[in-house]
Amino acid sequence: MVPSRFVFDASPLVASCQFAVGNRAVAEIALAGADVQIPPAVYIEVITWGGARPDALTAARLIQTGYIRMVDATVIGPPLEDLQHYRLGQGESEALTLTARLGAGTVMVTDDFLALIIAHRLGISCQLFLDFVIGRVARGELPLVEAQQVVHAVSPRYPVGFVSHSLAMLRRLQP
Amino acid sequence: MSLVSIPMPEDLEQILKAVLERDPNKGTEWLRAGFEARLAELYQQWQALQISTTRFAELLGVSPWELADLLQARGLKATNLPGQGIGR
Repeated sequence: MVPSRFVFDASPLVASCQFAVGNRAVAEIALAGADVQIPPAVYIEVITWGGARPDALTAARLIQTGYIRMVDATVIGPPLEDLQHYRLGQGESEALTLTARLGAGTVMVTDDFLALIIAHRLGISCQLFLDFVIGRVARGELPLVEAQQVVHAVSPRYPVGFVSHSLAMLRRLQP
Repeated sequence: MSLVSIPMPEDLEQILKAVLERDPNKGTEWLRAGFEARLAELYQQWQALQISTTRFAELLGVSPWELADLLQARGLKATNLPGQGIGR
């Protein structure tokens, strides 16, 4: 199924607002036109606790301008019971729960390996931020060159292998 | 350097008071050592996937942004993904 909605936790938001391509935050490029949602706990972690930091203000602007939508707590409901077995943060728990509630066509985006494994165990669709970017190119939603610039920009964040593999995958998408 | 007030456990108060009388800078040293030890302990737990990224920040008492800054300033990995980080 082609993903149509994405639920972000704090990790890809922080990364995509801290890094830039030229004078544009990575998030402004990578998220443009996508249906990106966050639960209230992620809003608190990123926007409220971010205060007046320039990168946190970038994230706040993305919400104000509709790049990212905060979902009401009533949509999320109680956290998935299985999550009690793990030591997740509030935002990751809500993001996993929201993705499960929204169901088919919704993908969680995280750079947290523990959250990624838990999602896999629960049958919740989940991907790294790098794969979110690659997926958008594959669906024709993001120009290849911009995706390559984004991957280069966030490269200091990832272990060796993840970036070169992402660039190789993008090269294969070249028409 | 700014001054902040921190409630002191009674058992430590008497010891620290005497230490500070001899060397006022020791308080800063203690504080830094305590924070770095906690950061190192939680970093190990995070890398071992015992805690998630946001849980790491919560337990350290910082925002996800501040956690990213702290890790970067120490040359530590920015994620708990497997493999060696390439660093900024």
